[in-house]
Amino acid sequence: MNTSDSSHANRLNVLIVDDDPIAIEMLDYFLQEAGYNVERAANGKQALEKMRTFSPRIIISDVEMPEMNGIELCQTVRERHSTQYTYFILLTCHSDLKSVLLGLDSGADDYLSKPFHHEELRLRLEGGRRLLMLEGRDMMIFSLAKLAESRDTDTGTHLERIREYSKVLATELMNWPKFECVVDAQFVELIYLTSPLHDIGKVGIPDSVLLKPGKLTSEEFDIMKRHTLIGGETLYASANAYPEAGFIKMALDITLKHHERWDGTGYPFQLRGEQIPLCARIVAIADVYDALTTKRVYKDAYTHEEAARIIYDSRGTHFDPDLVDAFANVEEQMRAIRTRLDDAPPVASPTQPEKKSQETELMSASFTSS
Amino acid sequence: MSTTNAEIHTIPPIFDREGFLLRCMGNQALAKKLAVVFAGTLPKEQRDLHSAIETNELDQVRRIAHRVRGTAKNICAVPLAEAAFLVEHAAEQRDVALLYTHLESLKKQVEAILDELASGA
Repeated sequence: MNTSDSSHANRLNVLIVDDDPIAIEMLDYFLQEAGYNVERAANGKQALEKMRTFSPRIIISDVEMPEMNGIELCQTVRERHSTQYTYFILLTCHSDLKSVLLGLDSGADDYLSKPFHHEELRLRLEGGRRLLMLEGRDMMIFSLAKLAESRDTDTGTHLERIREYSKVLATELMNWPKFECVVDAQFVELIYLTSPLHDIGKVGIPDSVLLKPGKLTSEEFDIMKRHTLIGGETLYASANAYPEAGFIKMALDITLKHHERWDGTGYPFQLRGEQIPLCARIVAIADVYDALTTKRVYKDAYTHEEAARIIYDSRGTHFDPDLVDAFANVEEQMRAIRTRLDDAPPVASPTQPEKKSQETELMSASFTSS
Repeated sequence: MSTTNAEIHTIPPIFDREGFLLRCMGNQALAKKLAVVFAGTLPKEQRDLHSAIETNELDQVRRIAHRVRGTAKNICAVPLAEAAFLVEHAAEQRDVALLYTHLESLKKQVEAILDELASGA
């Protein structure tokens, strides 16, 4: 038995449902040996009763049982729309195609023939565990992002725009030979999922600073800068606990390093050039573009053209030159996202924003004090 | 017709002890415990089967035979599983005459496995 697998399995509750005392004993023994928490029920009705006090992540059920059979149990579990997904395996002597289709149609995730083969069942359970982990991943990201959003002065669609911008930029890089070994479909999916977490550290910033309507003082800005470290610390613990979860590593890189600058003048670590992870360099552009084109209490929104000009002028200073070139290639897509997901009244063009230097605007976008 | 050597090799044993022990992941205590449970359950299943036949509850006959088949497979008693399958199938087809024929065969297999388990205990 793979020990690392067992350590994860330890956290999973499994409910076995079978009216055959031999089958249930064998399954119970096998699952306990594999490190699962096991409860038993002799039929579907008993299983539902058991689920009032025991919350299974996986159910392994026979089909033919008195009172309530496995198909009915599976349908009932699916109709409940519970807050967490339950992986459902049907285990039965009926191995003909019609029975298999009936079982899967009831909402079962997997279908196994009796008598079960230990190694096969172990691998099927691993498949279930992976699916449940994915659910956990998406839920965790969504929850954290919503938490960050609740402390954000930006309006509702900011996070949505950030992930769309990041996805467009990353997708553009997929076609560049220089990035073909780094940026693939999975990278694009992960940055789409994790970029909304870039500011989760704001939950640790006091209201007096975070919600201040005007410019920040130098001291206040130092406090504000800590949001990268606060977010980083939060995700660092998760990254250590789940080293195989690549999405946490990317979320950590983005959260901690999206305010670094290509020329080494960013924060918190003054990283330079490719010391800054690619995902953080992508989100840096996405975040600044969004900040520039969004109206703030202390400034009007810049038009797309003005924001793009500022970004081009920061090529090689604030931003990775390649990323600025990528931005140029997808400029129209960026503009379209801004228009589609605009939750503020459109800027009357050509509105002249409050007169400021480009550098000041960039600094504002990065929370720099004036 | 006499049984050929080739056929002898393909006839599954009444009870495959080794296979059963493997299914118990080599745990002798578990294997013994399950054998005792099985030996205790089987006569009751048989009684329930006969009751269901007497009251013409063919669905119940099918369900019990299905359960016996599953248990027999788990315990590595292949001939018993096959006999139970025939009963299950006859009940499903609602063929009472055939059901009685297969029921006799099932009874013999139950006796055989109980003897086998008793001899090895």
